[in-house]
Amino acid sequence: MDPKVEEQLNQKVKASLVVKTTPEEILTKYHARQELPKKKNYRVPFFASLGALATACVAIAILLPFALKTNPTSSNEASSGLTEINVSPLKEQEGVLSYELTSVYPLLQKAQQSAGLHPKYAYLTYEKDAFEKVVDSYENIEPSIHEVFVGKNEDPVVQIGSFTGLSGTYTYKVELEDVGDLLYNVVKENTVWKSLAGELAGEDGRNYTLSGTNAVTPSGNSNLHLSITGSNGYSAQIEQNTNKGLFFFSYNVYVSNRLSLAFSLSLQQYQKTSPAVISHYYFADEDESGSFTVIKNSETVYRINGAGFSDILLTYKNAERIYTYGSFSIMED
Amino acid sequence: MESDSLQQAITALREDPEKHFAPFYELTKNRVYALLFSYVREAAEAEDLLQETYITLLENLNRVKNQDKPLAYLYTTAKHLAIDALRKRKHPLELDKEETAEVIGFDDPQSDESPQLLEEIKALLKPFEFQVYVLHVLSDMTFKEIAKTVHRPLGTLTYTYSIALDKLQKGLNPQWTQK
Repeated sequence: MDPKVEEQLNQKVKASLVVKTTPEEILTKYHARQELPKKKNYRVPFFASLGALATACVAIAILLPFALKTNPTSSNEASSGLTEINVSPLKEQEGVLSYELTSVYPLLQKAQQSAGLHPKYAYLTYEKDAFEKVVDSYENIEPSIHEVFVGKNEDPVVQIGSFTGLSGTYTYKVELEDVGDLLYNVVKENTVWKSLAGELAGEDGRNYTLSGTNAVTPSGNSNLHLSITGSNGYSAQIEQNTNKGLFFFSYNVYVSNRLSLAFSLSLQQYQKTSPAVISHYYFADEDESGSFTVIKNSETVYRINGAGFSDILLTYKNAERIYTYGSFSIMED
Repeated sequence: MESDSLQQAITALREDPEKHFAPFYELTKNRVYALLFSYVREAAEAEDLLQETYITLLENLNRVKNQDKPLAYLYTTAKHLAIDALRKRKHPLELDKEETAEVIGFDDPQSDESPQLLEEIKALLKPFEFQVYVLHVLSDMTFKEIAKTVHRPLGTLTYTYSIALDKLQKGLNPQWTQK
């Protein structure tokens, strides 16, 4: 096409474009919506899935200790670390595992909360501004990390039916508040679970299918893979690889085949009395990513390193979290 | 510079959304609308999604960081809304099999309130050709920006655009292409 003709045509096309919506209409709708109760975040369905998966992990965790016990010499590294590390209220191997694995559940709540985060201080120096951003960023994942340290006191898993023996198919039901019921079968061989399959009927009317495999390495480490696929096009994958830490979980959530959220948590044992959690996350939609190492100083004080900051102190006081860096302090509740 | 005026507009918008929304909207609406229209290919639906896009922006003003380009934020939001809308129609069209499915519309154009010229263009071009043409001409996107948006190689886009122009030259009512 002649460039002049092209230009002329394009001008006509531009001139033909008429946007009827006025700014007043948008503002009116915006205000009307502000007055309505908060709409559920679009992430809810697949974080519901994540929660379900996480809870499935809890059930699996109940079985995992048996796997560790079957080969005490070869699984020495993992079992000794777990029993010696001071991270959970329960000191027994089985309990510790269960508690740690349950810690992934807060991802569900956390991701929903993250949508509403915003800077709280308007007039900041660069350093304080940067500190605040780090805190904002950390708040996205704080519950998940904290749960790894303190554990969780609920076990929502119900075993259905009566089973005996070391091998066979065991059926479990998980009642997830605000999410739905998860039903799944676990195939065990000599107390070690090998595979699982299940379904979650979500309260949002969507269905999710769950599948998983578990490979126990010769050294006794467990490498599990869980995936959940929603009828709405959402999918999530969870992997555990104990070679990467006492516990290592990574989550990848896909929406329309595109990675929407990546999150990983690993529990390290720097010193026997000072466990640390390393966490990485990436929210594709917000183009936000971060990496933190959190070391437990005491029951209520933690040290955070990440995003160019070192030794941010996080103090838990009643229901509040106080972040301190030098002379700066930010309180969250 | 246009980008400067946009930055000023978004800064002002943050300070007082009521007062400064209209100028910001006037500055950006055509390009955002064009992006939406390139996906959904229906004027009324594009208008609805346009409203949603700006409402989303208003709801998340605090989260649009200072260094972010406001237009990029609007484009991303608009694109997600458009893809969601297309998915609800249950006739997604897979454009990029290797990486991700980008849904842009249907082979059968629907009659709506689009201006006559755009209707003619829509009828002449395949959905992807229409999208590239509209994004380039109406959204003022460079081919590089379009490549990023639709996840297609640059060469494919320039080729598609040239094919679209050929089709328009041959197929459009002469009144639109006469000098």
